[in-house]
Amino acid sequence: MSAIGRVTGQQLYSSSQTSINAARLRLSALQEQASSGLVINRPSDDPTGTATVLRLRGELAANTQYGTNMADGLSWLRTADSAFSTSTDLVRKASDLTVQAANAGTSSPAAREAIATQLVSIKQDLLAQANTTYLGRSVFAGTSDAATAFNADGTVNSTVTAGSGLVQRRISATETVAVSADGAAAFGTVVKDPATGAVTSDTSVFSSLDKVIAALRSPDWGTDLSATGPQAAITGGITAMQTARNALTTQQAVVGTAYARVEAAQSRNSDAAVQLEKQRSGIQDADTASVLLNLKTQELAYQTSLQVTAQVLQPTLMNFLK
Amino acid sequence: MASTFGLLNSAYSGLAAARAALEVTGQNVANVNTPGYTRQRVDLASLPGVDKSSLFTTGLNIGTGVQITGISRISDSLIDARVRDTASSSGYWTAASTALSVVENGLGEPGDTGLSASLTQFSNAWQTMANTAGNSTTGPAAASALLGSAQALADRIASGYSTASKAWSTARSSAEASVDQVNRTGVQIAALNDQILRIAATGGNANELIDQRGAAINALSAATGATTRENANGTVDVLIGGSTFVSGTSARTLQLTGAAAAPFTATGLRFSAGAAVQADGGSLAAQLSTLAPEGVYSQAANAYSAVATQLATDVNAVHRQGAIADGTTGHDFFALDASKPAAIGLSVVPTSQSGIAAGKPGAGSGDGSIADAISQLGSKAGGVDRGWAAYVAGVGAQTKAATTQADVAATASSAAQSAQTSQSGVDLDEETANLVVFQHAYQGAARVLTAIDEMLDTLINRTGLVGR
Repeated sequence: MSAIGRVTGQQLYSSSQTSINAARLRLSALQEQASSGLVINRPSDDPTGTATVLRLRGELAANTQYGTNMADGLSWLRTADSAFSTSTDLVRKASDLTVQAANAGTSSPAAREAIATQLVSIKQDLLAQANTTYLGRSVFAGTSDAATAFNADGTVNSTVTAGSGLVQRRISATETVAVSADGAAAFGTVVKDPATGAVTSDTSVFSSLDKVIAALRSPDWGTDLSATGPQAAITGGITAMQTARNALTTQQAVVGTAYARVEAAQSRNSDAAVQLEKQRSGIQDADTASVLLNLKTQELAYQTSLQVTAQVLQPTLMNFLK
Repeated sequence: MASTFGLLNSAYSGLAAARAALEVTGQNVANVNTPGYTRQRVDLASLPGVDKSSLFTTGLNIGTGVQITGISRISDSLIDARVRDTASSSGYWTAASTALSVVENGLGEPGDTGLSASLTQFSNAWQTMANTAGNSTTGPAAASALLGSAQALADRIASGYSTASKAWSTARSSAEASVDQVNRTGVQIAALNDQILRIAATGGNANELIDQRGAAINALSAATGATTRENANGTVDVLIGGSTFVSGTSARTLQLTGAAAAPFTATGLRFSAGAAVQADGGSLAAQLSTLAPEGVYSQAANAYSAVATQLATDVNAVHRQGAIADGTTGHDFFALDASKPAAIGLSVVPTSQSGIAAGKPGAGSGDGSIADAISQLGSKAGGVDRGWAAYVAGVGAQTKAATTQADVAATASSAAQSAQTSQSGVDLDEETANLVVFQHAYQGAARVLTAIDEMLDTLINRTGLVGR
């Protein structure tokens, strides 16, 4: 507006046009917010907000992935845990039978053979447990792709021993959890000298069972009472069973701890998902009520400016000169 | 004392002045909506009485009517200069913010179509790869999902780059068109200068041509930030970036420098046969700055190339440590074609699961530690995701700033235009009032004429008829 205060029709027209345009622009911006439900539709709507939203979206996607990882990890751990429970039961049964063999019922070779047969079947069951698989992968074979963790003689499959670690699952940006169990620590190993093939160390529960079975079937039963005789082997077997049970329980505890850790992480993860979504929504999502209210206000302003313009721009002096 | 018939002449001059004023009013009304039209006014001056014709002439010396001294344009050169100045600034910022908006909308951020979504999918695909490592049932599916997402990522980067490069080419041809327009306007101004000069030489009225020239100069200012220099003979010189573009009746020709076919090459402005010119405002200056090697388009292209390069470097560094299916290490996941820009030259090396190194050598095929490490690369400090997010936020901030500037400049420009319209625009009310005023003046002059006529009639026809 000039200082002279001269207002021309064209000036009125162009300023009305500018105001109507501006009102329409605000209306379209609000309409975009209302229809997309977002306040940040492009980076320039809020540059800092955009940076945050991008980070949050990335974290949300990673969070979802960690959720999948954890569900998968829990399945692994559950499989290992149930294998451990069954194995502990089997070893206890074997232990009971060994004690039974040491005490009564061993008078006749037939009674000893009955116990030996049971132990053979327990050993087979135990081997099956030690080779438990989850989705085609042996849970005690670590990162090795061996189909079975343990051979029939109780030795650990050579590909497993070749330095493979435990299977890891990422549960957050900073943590990974081992979801497979250490089969060698749980079931024991037979280590042979690669050159001679001689056994250098033997902690295997399978070879302990084999020794007990061999002692029960030994023809020297009752005659050879020396430290290397069958009865002594049975006594040794009892101790070995105990040790094996302890090893299994220890490893089951490790798996249980990991399970608890993943479960805790899972609940943290879902909390974090809610939090992240809330943060993202707080920055990026439009507040429907306020957007609608603004939209109504702008609509009114727009319609008013149209009305007023239509009313004001029509008359000139000519309408009144007769 | 004037002659008896001198009165008739006075009355006639009044009639002629009123008619001329009505004609000018008519011209004003006719041009009420003509862009660039400046309202005109008849300048009138009263005619003094006739000089004493002899030494002994006595009596009163009464004026002898009215004369038209000219038809003036009611304009204010200060306001005109301000209109040009603000138009140049508004032109610059509007073009700059338009270019930034093009780039910004091409990013598709924040959303599912943006590069950041592709980067996240790529990272998650590596996680799935780590989870399914060594699994014969789900492994191949995860591997093909990973290869798919890697290809999608490479495609997204390439398409982002080519969007930027196409936007550059479009901007280049639009700058070309702007330069053509500027040249045509220059020729037009020179031609108008010529006509004005000739009309002025014959003492005519060139108001309409001056208006046309003013509109042409405004357009030139909006495009190039041109300034003017008025010459004594009524012509106007136009300067772009301090160099004379239109000098009197001759105009020079501008042209763009730099290769149009090669995106992101430096583009400048120079006279057809002569030195380089720096447009110091206006839309053309903004267009040239977006075309520059550090302009928005090339920034966008560089950002995509930087992502491609970093992605290839980071992922390959980890991937090389891992063993592929045959147990060998040192294999790349991404390849860069050195003959092309990184964003276009990025390709995925493995074609099947056997080429993906998910685990460390010797750790067994169930090891997914390499895949896991790759999945974590992007979101690390200094990782690709962070770098990209920083670029996106930077573009957003630039766009926001340019849009705000454009709004401010547009407001200033429209305020200046409003001031100009207020000063020079035609007001129908005023013209209608003038119409009434001059109509009455005409009627009055005609009445004077009638009165003289009757007076002469009495004198000539009725004198000496006493007693008849």
